[in-house]
Amino acid sequence: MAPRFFRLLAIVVLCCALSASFVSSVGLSTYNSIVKQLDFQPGGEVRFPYRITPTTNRVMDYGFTKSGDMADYVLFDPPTYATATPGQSLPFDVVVRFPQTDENLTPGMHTVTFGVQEQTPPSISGNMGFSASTSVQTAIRIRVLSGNKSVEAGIAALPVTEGGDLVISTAATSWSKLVIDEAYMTVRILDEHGKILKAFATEKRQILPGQAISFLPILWSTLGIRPGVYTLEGTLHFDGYQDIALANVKIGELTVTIEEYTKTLTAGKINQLMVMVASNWNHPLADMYYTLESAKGKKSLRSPTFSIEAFDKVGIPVFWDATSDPPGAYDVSITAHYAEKETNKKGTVSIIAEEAVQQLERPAMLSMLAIVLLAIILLALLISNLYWFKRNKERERKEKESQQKMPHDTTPPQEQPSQK
Amino acid sequence: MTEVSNRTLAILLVAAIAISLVGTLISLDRIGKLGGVTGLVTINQSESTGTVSVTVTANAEVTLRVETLAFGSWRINGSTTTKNCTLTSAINSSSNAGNNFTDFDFFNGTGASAGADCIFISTAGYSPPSSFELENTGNVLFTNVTINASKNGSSGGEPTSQTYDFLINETGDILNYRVMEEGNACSDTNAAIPGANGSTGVVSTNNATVCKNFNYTDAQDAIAVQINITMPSTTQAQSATNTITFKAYAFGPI
Repeated sequence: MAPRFFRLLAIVVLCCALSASFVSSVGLSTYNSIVKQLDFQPGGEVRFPYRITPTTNRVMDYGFTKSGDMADYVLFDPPTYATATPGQSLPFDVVVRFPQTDENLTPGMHTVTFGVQEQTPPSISGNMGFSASTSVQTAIRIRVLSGNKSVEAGIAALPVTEGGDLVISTAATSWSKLVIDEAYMTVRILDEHGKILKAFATEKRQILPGQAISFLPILWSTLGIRPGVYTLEGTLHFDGYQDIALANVKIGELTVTIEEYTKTLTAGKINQLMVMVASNWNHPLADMYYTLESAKGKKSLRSPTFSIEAFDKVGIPVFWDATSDPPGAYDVSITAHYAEKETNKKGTVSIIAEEAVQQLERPAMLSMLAIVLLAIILLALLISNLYWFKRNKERERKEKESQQKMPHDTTPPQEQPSQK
Repeated sequence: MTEVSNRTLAILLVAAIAISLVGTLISLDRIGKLGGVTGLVTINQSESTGTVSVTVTANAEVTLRVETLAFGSWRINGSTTTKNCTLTSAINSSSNAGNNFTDFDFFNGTGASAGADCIFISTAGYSPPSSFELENTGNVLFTNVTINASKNGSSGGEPTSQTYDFLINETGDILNYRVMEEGNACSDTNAAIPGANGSTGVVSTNNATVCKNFNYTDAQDAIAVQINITMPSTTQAQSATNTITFKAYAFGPI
């Protein structure tokens, strides 16, 4: 009874351990908001207490990360946490240590991103697979105000479908310690050649130190305007000063273009055929695919499903099995399928023999002049050989004749090397 | 001395439990009628005010319920037409820690599979791995969650170094992902994210958003990330492993 019980207990414990080993987590906790904001304090030091919450059930190494233009002023105390045991909560402080002066800092909001990352991803059993680790990131925002009148202009508009109303948002954010008595913005819409299509002006407003305001939105009808990318130019006028903000706005149409594709394939093998698809739409297009048909090649290929970001292009491959396709030209029809629409492109794919490919890969042939020169050299060598051969024969004949004319000697004749 | 049988012991055990239960119930009933010190606050007691102080900390925490995907060893069947081996991790239909992905099947029913061109090298049957599963176990909304890999497939751009190449010297290897939400775990703007709503995103060394506004409310605080690998027939024998990093950004209101 007892051994069986302990065996069962061991199995249960092992199962728990195994199932638990497939979970890991990481967290950052703090009082109040997870994101902290503060104003620049010359020479000051501010501490924000945080904790790493490693709920993982195995020992894990954690590393701190930080980035941003003021990251040098942010420190961790303690600076590192090499290892955490399961369930251990690790306290640390994020310390913002300001320099004595803000002379070198741009007025505005500065964001320092910091976080904690798992350093020891789990091992994978087998030859093929993925392991994952997690990281939690948050931010400290540091506001730097200027002693001068400093206001930042902002302008933006969401992409619009052709013919729709474009809503232009304009804003002004004061990074000044002073009150701005009067501020307004003028807006111009420019085409790709810099031609002004329309101009607007906002109402006049007062801005308090460090305050952000939005002007009333501007509406612009895009009726009769071609799809494409246009420039919004906003000029903020405040107490005799100016600040300019620029933004692009896209007027899109829901179409895609099949731009290029691989036009030469090799016979006797499987070829990758890449098709480049570009989107003319002002939103990402998801769940797209294309088909490639070739009647001669008896091919009906379908690409994997893919997505394209707004106004972006991607190259997606399919694989053409040309193991039994003879060399030649093959008409192809490529059809992209997206958002219940289709775009077709017809063209030709050339399948060339592997020998032809190898021939193409040889070095360039010799020029005619080089061939003639080579022939002359060979001819000269042949003539000289014949001349020397004839001369040797003649000398041999003369030596024989002279030997026949001389009296016989009692000593045996010396052995002559045979001439070939 | 005669031995007590198991039957007798069982009867005694049941009797002891019953007596204990009855005794507890009677005691609780009688205590309410007593005027002495009972631990209960009586309604006749003079009014007083107590202050209970509770501090709830902001906790930005993610938990990876499934952190490895092991596809095992494969070879590619060269005798079929397509000659591409495609492996897909499983849909986490009813998975860990009560996360339920059945209501919002953004995988469009396309679950775990091994293509016809894939031949599993093992006498044991192939059991596809579950997809990665990420849960917001804190009390803070993550404005953005990204995925990136240590190595690229050709779909993510041919790497300049073999160190970052998933299938070394292959140009036809494709690494894709798809995201499925538990309920409305990510915001509606997720429709614009590659990999969401049944579309396909590319796993690469670049950070790609898999979820915006990742909720922490129960029943809609988890996402499953399905991984799909395509290997061409020219793939040479090699081990192919990749390390995925999920980064959760808590950049919300101050």
